[in-house]
Amino acid sequence: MSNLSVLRVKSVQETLNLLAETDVTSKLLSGGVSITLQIRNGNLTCDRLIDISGVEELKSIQPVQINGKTFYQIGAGLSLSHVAKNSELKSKFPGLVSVIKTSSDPARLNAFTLGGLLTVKRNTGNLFPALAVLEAVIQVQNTDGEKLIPIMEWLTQVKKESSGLITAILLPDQSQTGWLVKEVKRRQMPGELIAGVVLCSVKDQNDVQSDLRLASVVDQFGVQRWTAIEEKINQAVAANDSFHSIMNDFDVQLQLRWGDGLDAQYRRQVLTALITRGLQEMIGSGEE
Amino acid sequence: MKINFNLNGSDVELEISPEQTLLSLLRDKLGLFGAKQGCDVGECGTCSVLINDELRKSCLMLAVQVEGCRVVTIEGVSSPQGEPNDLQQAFLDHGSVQCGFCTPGMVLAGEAILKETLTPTRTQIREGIAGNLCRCTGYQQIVDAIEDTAQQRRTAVEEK
Repeated sequence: MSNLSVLRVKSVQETLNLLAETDVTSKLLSGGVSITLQIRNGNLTCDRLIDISGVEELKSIQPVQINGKTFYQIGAGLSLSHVAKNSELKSKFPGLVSVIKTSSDPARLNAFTLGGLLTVKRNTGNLFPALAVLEAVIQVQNTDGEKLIPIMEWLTQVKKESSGLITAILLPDQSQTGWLVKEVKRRQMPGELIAGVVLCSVKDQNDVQSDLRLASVVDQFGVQRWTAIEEKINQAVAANDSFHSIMNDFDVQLQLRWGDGLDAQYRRQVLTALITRGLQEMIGSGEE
Repeated sequence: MKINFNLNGSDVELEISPEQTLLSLLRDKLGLFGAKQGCDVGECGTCSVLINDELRKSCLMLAVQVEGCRVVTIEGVSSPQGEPNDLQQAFLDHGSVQCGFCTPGMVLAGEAILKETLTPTRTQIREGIAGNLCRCTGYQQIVDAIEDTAQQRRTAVEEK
């Protein structure tokens, strides 16, 4: 007979109280995908599951003010399909919605929750790069209080799973600034990428672009935000210069970072090609 | 532990193990073999079911998660007498069934699409069945069947 138990909770506070108990180990059950796979693989290491799928506090989408800035707060308990169908997000963040819709198949979009994917740091499609270029902030609560953690800081934390409860994802309101989000990717299976790139930039009324941001996901090399290359490309765009020499430098940097194994070489070529294509589509040919 | 849910229109109360997947509950405990055990990791879609009208893969969720939900398997789609419904009949008419292993999942993916809209484009249909693999038909006939059923249901709504 199994020793695993399941507790259904109705509030964030109830969840935090249970997570704080030290005599039993707990894991959160939301969409269930990760937990089911852990059980199947025989590596679920906990005494009980806390089912948070009934916590309504984790399912709202609303604008909030934090330190004088407007953010869109997306409840961590919402499935990706609910996020993609939300009319307000469709109008405020069409690029993100488009990325989400193509990030997996319909059944998994119904199962994956934003909080679940972020808790286990399991990217799907171009979701995490899109959150990275939009500079999403993860709202985490534990019994000590609330923390706001920038997405890239969250993803690069060494610990695979963090204690506490992700309650929401905050997206800075960028709806007034003509944001473009461009997704390019190379598929293996639906939702699983060898490499994917998300670019976004601000386009003004005269079609002049600025503040270009770039993030990628490459299967075994993870999610990266390329701030150094962003800066160089933004300078090139402002000066109306070609970005091809920047991409050559980038290729060399990737070689130094990832090594020269066959897999790394292939992925470097794919990523460089995807970024070049994305830049060409977004800001033109890159030729003077 | 005990769970209560609605299965194909009937309320049920069952004793389950917390680790049990919904697929295992359906097949091993309830003898509903329409949901197939294929890849077991959510890639193939043969285990698809509808949970509160949303398509889900029953191999990727625990049975405990359907507490209070409406679950529809392929056995709940046909008429009580076992006659195929309009979508199942369209699958037969269009030659959308060859080996048949993917068919229950495909029909339920089709039902999920038609619950969202009765005017799906062929692209929407293809996106809607993107998580269901078929190695026989090449998908064309499946898309035709769903498109045809959408047309029939649209006509039925318009005539009312």
